[in-house]
Amino acid sequence: MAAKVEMKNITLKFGKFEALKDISLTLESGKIHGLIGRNGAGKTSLLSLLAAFREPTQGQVEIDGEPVFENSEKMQQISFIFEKNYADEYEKVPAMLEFSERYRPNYDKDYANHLLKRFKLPLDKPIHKFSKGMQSALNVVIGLASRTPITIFDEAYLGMDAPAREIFYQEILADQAEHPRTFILSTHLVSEMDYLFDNVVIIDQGRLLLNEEYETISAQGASITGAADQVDAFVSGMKVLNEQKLGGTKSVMVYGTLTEQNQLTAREQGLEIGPVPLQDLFIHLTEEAH
Amino acid sequence: MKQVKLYPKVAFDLFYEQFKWAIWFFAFLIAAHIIGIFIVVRNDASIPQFFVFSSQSVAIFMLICGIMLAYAFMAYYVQQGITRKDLYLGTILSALALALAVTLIPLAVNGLEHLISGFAALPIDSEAATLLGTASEWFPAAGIFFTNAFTYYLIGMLIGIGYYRFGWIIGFAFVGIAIAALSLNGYFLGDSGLSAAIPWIPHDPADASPFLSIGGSLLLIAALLASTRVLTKRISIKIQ
Repeated sequence: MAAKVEMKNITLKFGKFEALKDISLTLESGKIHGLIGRNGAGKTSLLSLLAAFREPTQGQVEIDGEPVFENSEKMQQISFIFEKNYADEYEKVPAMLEFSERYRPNYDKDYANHLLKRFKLPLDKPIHKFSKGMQSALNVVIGLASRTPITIFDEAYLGMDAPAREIFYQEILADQAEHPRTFILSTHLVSEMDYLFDNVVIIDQGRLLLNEEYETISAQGASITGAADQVDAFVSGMKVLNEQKLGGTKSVMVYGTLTEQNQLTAREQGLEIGPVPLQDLFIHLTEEAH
Repeated sequence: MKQVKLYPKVAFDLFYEQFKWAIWFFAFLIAAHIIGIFIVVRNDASIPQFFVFSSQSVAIFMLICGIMLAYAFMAYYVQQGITRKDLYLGTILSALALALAVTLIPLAVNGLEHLISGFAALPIDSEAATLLGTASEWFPAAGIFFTNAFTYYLIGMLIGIGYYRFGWIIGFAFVGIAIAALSLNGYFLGDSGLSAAIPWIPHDPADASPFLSIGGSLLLIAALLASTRVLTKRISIKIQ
């Protein structure tokens, strides 16, 4: 079960400050969408509109063609998982999960138990005594086990160590294969999470920069590796995003699609052409917009 | 648009959670009453019966439960996909049930005291002890107790929502509104102590006229119900 998200001309103002500026986008159902943007770009604001935590100043947020705000059927289909302050949470894990079990029709208890074991979360300890990473892992368990058609993780990994993050990513992919839903993952850790994304949305300063399939985006640039002087000659005139040099070998990321002629020349010169990491494109695109 | 009605579930859960707080609260209150009995025995004085003894504290307990609603429950329920409307209806139903529970518990304890005082001399105020004497007397008393408890909850809710929605500076204005509402409530339900402190409330007690008393109280409740709904209807949920 998955649902399609549509945002139509969304503007969100806090007083005079415009947090989101005329954003229109469609997120296809059953895909993993990566939402990336710099600090303060408006990621959480965008997601809070989608989760009906607030109303846009202008525009409409729709799930499968129906407005989401105060729509009980649609609101039930959305989980919005964000970093919560658990300083006053004296309950233990089972009581917290019981709450989700009562209100989420697709909640899977066995799956929740499986996740609790994988993250090694203690069941007999009050949640306020958990470490930050463990609290994040609990949020992840709630979000995954609720199996809502739309599941939003807003930087849900905060405080989690690398092995725990790896479990999080593995579980998303594994569950997506068996129970496809619409995931929206907002993140700063672009290089670590890009392989998860089917689709990428980049926002910057409240504006939508791009909403495209991952494959299309990675074709918007290229990495060229080879002998330093040859690479330099090849990329002259191109928009260079990043370059690395090791001894006589150089690797340069360029922005823009390579023409067939370019590709042919590169092959003749023995240069290696590869995809450009999303991280480099993200940095370039958000810098350019400033 | 297919709407799912979740408010009965919300009402049950909210009641259950707050009833647990009420059990703790009454445990302490009953302990305080028993300690009070031991103290007055030594001084050869008397203590009001439990129903009277608990009335002020129960009202304050309800006020605090109401204040906590916005901070303790609102974000949790909306995050679980509950609409503000379902949450509001659930809250009001749970508050009614809670007000009933906190009325029935003191009545039951009072009845128990009454039974015990039949064969053991308890230093309980004899005048007030007639409260449970005839049905015609305790029924209105329980009705006032219940209405008072429910009104205090709504007033607490208004304060909590005011702070949650507007921050602490405008929140203070809600405390002012709450004090006015509490005074009116005291005036309608015959609590002269509180209303006497507010200059614009008439000093003549309203309970001289049942019509003014009941009508005024219902109007106050209606105004509180309407304002809490208007304030939460499209409220933005904070992301901590």
